[in-house]
Amino acid sequence: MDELLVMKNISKDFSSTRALDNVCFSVEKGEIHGLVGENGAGKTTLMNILSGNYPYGTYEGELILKGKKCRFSSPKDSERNGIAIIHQELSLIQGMSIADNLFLGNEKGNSFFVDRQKTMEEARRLMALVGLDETPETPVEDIGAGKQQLVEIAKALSKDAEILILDEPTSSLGKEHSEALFRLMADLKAEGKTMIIISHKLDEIISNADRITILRDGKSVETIDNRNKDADESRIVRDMVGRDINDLYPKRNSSISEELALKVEHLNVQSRRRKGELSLSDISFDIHKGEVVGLYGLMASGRSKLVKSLFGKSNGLLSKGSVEIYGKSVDLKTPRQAIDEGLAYVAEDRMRTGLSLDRSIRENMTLPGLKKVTIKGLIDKKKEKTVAGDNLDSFHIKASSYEQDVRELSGGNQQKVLLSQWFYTDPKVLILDEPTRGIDIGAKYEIYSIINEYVSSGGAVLLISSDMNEIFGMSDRIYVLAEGNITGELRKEEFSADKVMNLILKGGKHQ
Amino acid sequence: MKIREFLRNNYLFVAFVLITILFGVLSEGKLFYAGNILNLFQQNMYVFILASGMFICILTGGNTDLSCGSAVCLIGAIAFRMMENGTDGAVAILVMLMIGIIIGAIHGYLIGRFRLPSIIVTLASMSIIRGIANLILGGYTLSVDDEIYLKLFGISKGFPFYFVFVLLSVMAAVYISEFAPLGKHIYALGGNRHSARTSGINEIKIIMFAYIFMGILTAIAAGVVTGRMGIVGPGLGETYAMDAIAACFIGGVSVSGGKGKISGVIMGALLMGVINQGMSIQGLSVNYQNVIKGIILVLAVLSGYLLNREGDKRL
Repeated sequence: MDELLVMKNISKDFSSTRALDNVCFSVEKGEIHGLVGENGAGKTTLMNILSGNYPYGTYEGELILKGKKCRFSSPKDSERNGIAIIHQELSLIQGMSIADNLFLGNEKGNSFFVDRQKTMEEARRLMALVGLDETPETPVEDIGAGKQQLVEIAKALSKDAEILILDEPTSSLGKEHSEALFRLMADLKAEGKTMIIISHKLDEIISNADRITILRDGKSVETIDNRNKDADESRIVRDMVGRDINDLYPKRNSSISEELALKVEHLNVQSRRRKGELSLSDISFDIHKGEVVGLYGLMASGRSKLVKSLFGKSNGLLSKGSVEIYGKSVDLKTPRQAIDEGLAYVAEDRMRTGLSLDRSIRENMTLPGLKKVTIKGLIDKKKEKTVAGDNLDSFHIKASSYEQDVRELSGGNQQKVLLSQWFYTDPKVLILDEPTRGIDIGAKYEIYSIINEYVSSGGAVLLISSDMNEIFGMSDRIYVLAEGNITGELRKEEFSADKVMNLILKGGKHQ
Repeated sequence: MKIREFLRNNYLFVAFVLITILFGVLSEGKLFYAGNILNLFQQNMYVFILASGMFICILTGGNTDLSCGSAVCLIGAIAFRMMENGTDGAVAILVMLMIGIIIGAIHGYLIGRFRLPSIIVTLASMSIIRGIANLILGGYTLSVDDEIYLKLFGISKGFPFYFVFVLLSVMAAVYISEFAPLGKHIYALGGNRHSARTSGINEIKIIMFAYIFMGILTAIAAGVVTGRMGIVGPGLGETYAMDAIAACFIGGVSVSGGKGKISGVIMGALLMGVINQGMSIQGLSVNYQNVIKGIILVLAVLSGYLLNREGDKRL
């Protein structure tokens, strides 16, 4: 077979975590190659190496294009070699016209004047190739996400790309636009172009890819032949999820009471990108006192949007629905109100939204619960110090003292500081968004123990995680979120990767 | 809904007409005297010139230049001192351009290379430049009698070169924003910095260019302003940055860059001109004028926001 591209023994580290471990990946000329794996399996990292976003020298291994070793130093460099990547978040300039976007950085004309006529002609030709019938002058912001995807492809074609990488191209597309995209991909394949597609939607991959490579935990598991579009979906799922859940999770004395801690009904949240549409529709769920409820969904399923909307509309999107905390109906308009009513939200990205990195542990710990250490408008330093000292001990935070800056702590200890500050607000319901991302196993175990202790003493937790094992290991019940809908609820005895994946696919088909 | 739609598309024109009528009535028609209209243009030439440069800077990503008024004063002061000591007018003019370019290059380098906020960089340079200008003036008002200088920049004798300078400045901004490949890059950078960079656009180069362009226009503005009055005094240009920035934002340029048309900026500059002139005819003191201009700037930005806001409600 004609191997156009071979990536051999690729490894890549991000500070202490190994994102890719000896991955081998090869693509034949003129095929559509599907790349699948769970969140964090390393798909995007691998493609970023191929597209030059992670330049030569930042990874180990070899990249061989048409039999020649390549060392890309930048995205431009990889583009010159005929590789174009279309990122999940589209990179078009919203206010500019389609035509201007197509040739951005490669304007038609000389260096002093843009040749308008030639720009329009070329734009029309490229747009016809991908089936866009708008006028080239149309601003990109006026066309939908589906058509923007097509503009991106046209832009890649304008650079004579031979290999197109599409990272989750259908994640924000409806069924109709997705189908149009795959028809276009089939046409491009007929013309001899090669495509690599990353997608969470296995049915799409199976019905369109010629071969499928599965990544798990930064390793390549296997590559399956799918020329007859008949790959076994359950085999792929098994490859993706793999290992059993072992004793990574501490046992908990479950004492779930009948009492509802949180009850959300018919929550609708408007979409940021598409005006007048809903990004979350008719979300209803509940959490009992003493229960850990898992919320599982893929990257763009709306997990974080859901909890941010719940937490005093902290994402700024309009939402409607009824929320009850311990039977009391509440209308949470700001995060402050949410905190006062007993909600705590431990944000996903501790570096960006969770902690004040250049302040001390002490100051961070009392931040959300500052009221409790404030007397007549002044902060009671003495009390603050007592609180910080106590927390340092009870959360096993490794630091020289509570005056140390949070930035200097390890990821696990930062996460514990973040947890401690929210526990200090005496939350009735604790929302944890990716509480263990990027921290080592030991620290994870400690955080799980803290969660267990909290629910045993009558707390209630909503746990969001991309790690399916973590969700299975920690939750008493799971809700699955897909495409902005809750597509199902699983009890502990029903937990299985297949069931979850099926519920996710249900969301995809249902749209 | 129809009225709102009309207002959204033409609010600038509506505001212009209303304010012109307002001042026309208040001045009992004096605003429309031919002499006053010419006066209006001559006294507000600097707004057109500086707003053209400010427009390009803002487009790159909301970058402003607060120091341009002080720079007008410094450039004028240096030129006048040189000519006072016998330097040829033509040489003085070249020096003016050089200083403008140097100031712009320093701004551009600090803002583009180190990504310092333009507001801090130009606030600091405003203080530095104003200080140096005052040191050169030593508290005095300088005057000029150089033949070449007055011929080129003055308003009384012969061919109206000043008109050409204003036209050239505006046309340069039209060319950059509408026809040059560079203009596409400027809009792209202001529209989405990250995407622009992945398209291979050199951020430092673009921002350097924008501020050097601003520097050149600042030098030209210094020429026409000092040429018209024939003098340079300590307080010269104190409101200029405000006027130029206001003209851009009133003209619908996006506060964060990437959006806006030169036609809007010209309209905004005209509006500022009418407001300046109208208030002068009314005999309002500069202090009242400042209060009113500030209020108008806030109203302009607010109305732009209210007319264009989307369903989004941000906290």
